[in-house]
Amino acid sequence: MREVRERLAGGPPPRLLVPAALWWRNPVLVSTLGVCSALAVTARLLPALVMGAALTAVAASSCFAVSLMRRVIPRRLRMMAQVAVIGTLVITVDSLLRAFWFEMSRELGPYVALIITNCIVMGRCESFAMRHRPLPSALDGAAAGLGYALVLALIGAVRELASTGGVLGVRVLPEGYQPCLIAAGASGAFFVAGLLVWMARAVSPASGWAKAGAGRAAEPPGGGVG
Amino acid sequence: MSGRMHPLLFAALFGAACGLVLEGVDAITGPAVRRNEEALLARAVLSALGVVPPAGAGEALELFSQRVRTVDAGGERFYVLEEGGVPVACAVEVRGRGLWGPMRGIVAVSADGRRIRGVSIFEHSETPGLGAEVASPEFARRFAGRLVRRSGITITRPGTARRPGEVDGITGATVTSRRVEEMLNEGLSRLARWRENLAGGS
Repeated sequence: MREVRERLAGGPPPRLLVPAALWWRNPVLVSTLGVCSALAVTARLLPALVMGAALTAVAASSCFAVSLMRRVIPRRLRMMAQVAVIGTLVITVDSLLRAFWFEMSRELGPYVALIITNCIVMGRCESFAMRHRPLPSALDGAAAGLGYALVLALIGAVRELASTGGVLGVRVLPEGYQPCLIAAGASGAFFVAGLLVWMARAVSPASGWAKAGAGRAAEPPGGGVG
Repeated sequence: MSGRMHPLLFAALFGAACGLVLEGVDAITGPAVRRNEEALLARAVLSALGVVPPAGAGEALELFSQRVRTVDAGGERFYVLEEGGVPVACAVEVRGRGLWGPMRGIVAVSADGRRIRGVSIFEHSETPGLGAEVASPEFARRFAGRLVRRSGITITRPGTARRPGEVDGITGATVTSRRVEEMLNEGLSRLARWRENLAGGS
């Protein structure tokens, strides 16, 4: 029932935004958005955390900015305006990273810049920020970003543990552990992400995922694996 | 402000605003970004020349300017390490095509050009855990002191390097190893040509 009420009301109430985005409306697990970077930057936990933080910052600030301009933007230009806002903020985050944390920026490669094409950010701008006031919009963007960040952190932790026997460079498993190198590669990313989606859906309340999945049709355009 | 703007007016104003923001960001971060990129190259040159580079960007650039002389010849840049005014090694930047994307590195030879001084690959997008080992210090160490033959060096199958001029490749990264070999030999031949020109000219 919760999902039906939410859909009629255009989303969960503000106090439930973050738990909803972390769990029963998680952008990666439920809407399968942002999967590309979720696979690409999660070979280790630290870059996954940084990527999650970068996306959260971009999503919150671009939703805030788009919401501020929502009554001014000409209808036909609204997508272009959103992309310009997101692009400006992504370049800002990318430049800051390259200036002040160069090693991490090199490790993340092109994926910070590719936040511009991340469907989560544009999806929240188009479906929420264009119709709500700035502060709730920023909260909504941040919540979606946190949901993405949570999944990246989980995938990153599992892959780093499996491929190196440690997490964040700290040894966890005993010395005799044979590293599973496949977990560090692209195929390992697919396995871990797929298992995670499966497990998350298996342990969640029975009603939640089926309806949330069915609700995908009602999600804004921009679905897919961006 | 309510009421939608005219699309052209909006595009002009909004485009200018975004441009201004980005100019501001570049003014703040640009110098640091360029310094980081210079330090990346400086650190790679130092380590290929056999000098352990310091961690900080500033320290690496300072050591680079103290120890390394850059020589521009024929549109190329060569790096010469001198000790007491005598050149002990020289290096050149190499670029090549890796398995997934471009690679950049530095290859250095001893002053007589007969042995490899060091190798350092500082930009690549090879497979993590396999080809990405090209950037590891362990892989770089395999090259130090190896003989440079007329045809350059050969990267062999892992564990089979026996003869002079042979270096063990990386397990599970056959293509990457071969591409590294091509890239390094191209750099080695440029270094050899440069040294011949120097000898011929003097």
